[in-house]
Amino acid sequence: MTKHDPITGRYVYLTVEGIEYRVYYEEAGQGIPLIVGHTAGSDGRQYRHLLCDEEVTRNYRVIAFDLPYHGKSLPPYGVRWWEQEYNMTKARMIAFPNALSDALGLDRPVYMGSSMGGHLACDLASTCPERYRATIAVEGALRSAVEYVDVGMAGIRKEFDNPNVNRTSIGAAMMLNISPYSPEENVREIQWEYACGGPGIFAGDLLYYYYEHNMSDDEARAIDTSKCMLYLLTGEYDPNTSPKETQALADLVPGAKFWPMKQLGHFPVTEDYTKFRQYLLPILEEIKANS
Amino acid sequence: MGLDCKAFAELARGDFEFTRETRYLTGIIKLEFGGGIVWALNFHNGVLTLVEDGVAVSDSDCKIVVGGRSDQWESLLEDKPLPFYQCLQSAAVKHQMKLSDTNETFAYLPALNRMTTLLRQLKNGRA
Repeated sequence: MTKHDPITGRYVYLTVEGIEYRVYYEEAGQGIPLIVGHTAGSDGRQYRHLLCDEEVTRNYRVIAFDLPYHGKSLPPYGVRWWEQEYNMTKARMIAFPNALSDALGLDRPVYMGSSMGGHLACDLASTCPERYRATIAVEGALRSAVEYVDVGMAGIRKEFDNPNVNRTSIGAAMMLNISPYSPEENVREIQWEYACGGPGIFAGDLLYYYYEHNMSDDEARAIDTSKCMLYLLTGEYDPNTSPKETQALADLVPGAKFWPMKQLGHFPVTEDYTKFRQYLLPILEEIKANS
Repeated sequence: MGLDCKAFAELARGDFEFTRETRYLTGIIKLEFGGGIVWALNFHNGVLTLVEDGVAVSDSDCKIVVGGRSDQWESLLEDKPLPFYQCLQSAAVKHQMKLSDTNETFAYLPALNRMTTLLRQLKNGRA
């Protein structure tokens, strides 16, 4: 008997900031739409375990997309992208899931993202709560940890966009984000995905992750969780957005719910999905009950 | 901490991943363990030729320098370290261990990660 995952993949054309992008997405399941966003420099493959989880897909249509320049979403055709430095902005980060939702005709989807996708979950809840019934920030916060922010884009490019450094090192660097309790196969898979990224893309994504996402206390206080509920999940081994950073956000957003996750790091969805789903499933149950 | 540099050298030379990830490296990786214990790992074209006492080796003569107090190394080399001792980079940023920022440091991160794993194996009697 041939074995398949229950995942199908397609390309959709999205126009963002006047540029048409051919965007790859995979989906599985039916029901409430759940858009899932990947981490900086990686792609939607991170969600393969979630896409195969029948307890999720029986009630949710899970849609994992690759941002342009990531995974199977090539750079836009007709744009001389090689003549400019790639950087991800806050406006563009917000625009892509919105455009995807419009293109697929989704009715107030849930958005869940990890790392820069986690920060984005906070920005979506703040800037367009009418579009989403809930967002789930995995490793989200007001901003990333100051020790990393202080490195600056020049330091980031020296490490992650350096012609002296092989792309294997970007994968190796992800060890800093990963819990020592994660199965080694999963650790190596995360590193593989990072080693596969396009040149300069991880570094350019970090512009949003470290600098353009910078939520003020007032903005956090103004998030209306009665319109768009904000759930927060953060792994205890994440040095970039530790539980301390997420707690600071949770303390400001009225009604937000936060769970620190034991023995998980910055990539909980891939590091150890069996542990992560113990935190995720009750959230999805609550969203379903409130829908 | 009682790590044996000869045992490390033997382990490293027989390790597929470490020998692959140090390919083409020529120069010294210096490890400062605290308490005056310093190793200088000498490489020539990717081959670990010598592990010697590195007290007299200056940082400027090294391609990569890693250092910390003995208690920091104890934490780093636990089998299941506490946050954020999971690797050299997180321990440097969050716990102030020393890690150079040369091009070679970034280029040979896969080797440094593997070296940490081998040191953990040695410390915890799994080598």
